[in-house]
Amino acid sequence: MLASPALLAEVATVTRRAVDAWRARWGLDTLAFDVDVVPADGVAHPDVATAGAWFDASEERTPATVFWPTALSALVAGTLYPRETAESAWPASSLAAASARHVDAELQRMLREAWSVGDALVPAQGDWQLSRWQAPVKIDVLLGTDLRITALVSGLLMHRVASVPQQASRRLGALDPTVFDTLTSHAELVVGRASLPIPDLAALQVGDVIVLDARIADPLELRIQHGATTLRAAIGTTGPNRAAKIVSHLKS
Amino acid sequence: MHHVELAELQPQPSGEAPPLAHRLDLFGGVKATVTVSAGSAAVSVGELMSLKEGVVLTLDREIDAPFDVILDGRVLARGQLVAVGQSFGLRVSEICTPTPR
Repeated sequence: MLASPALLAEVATVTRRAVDAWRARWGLDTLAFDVDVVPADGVAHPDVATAGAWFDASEERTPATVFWPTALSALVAGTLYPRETAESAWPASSLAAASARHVDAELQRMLREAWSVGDALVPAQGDWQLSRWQAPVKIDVLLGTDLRITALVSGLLMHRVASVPQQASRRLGALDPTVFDTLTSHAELVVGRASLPIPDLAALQVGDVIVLDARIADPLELRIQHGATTLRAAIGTTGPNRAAKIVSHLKS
Repeated sequence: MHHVELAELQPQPSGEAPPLAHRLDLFGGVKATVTVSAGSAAVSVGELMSLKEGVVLTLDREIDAPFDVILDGRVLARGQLVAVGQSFGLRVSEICTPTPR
């Protein structure tokens, strides 16, 4: 059974919606993407030129097998936390790289949710196996200029899901990030540090001058979550208060 | 060679003053790192996630408020920011009773 044009359009729509929601959630609006959905000849993995790995979700409620390019995390890191041309890529142990891996995994999760057939529509075990790959479709999600996620999904099952808008919508609905707005953290602007022998510190008096390790011309350190995350900021004022203006990207 | 057995030690409180009490001069080789803070801003997780270049955070200190000298989370002193050559410095204007912030 071949996928109909209407079915292909449905699959393309839910895929675009998922990628768009992912971009909006993580501030990746500048990352261009395109989605192409075509009937698949079979369910064998198509040839892929780039480095990556196939993930088969046969045991889940998403009848899909997905090729995930290795370079996606680096693309996300470079988009979220741009570096100067002369700077090397974020090291794998950096907070930026760890954040990018998380955002990368979120895209995979959101796509799987978009392609999920859901609880209510899972057929009985035997039927599942028989119908799983009816009308297979091949989805290509092009991210940036040359990074491609490729997936094979069962078009027929997705067509059934698409015909139940409320359920599809519920599964596509990502957790609204505003639910975290009430959680607060503190960002502290550190002017500098000084290492002093304990006797000198104990003898500190009014009028003494402590020389700090920060140069006036350099941006200061904005510590978030007690230093777990650090940004660079310029000190200044806004209204009657002191203020910090962020001047560079995430450091860890 | 013989096997060495270590005796179990029992604390024996003595009435004498601790020999190192108030002898800070003996700790001249130990350095403590103090941090000077300009202030902080309470930010939500949503705001943190959207922080990027150019964003201005209003700190919780007025322009003329003294800067805190912090050691291990406690404010030791306060003072005014000064320039010492090319670097920042802090002229101490107040010695504080260290209390956790």
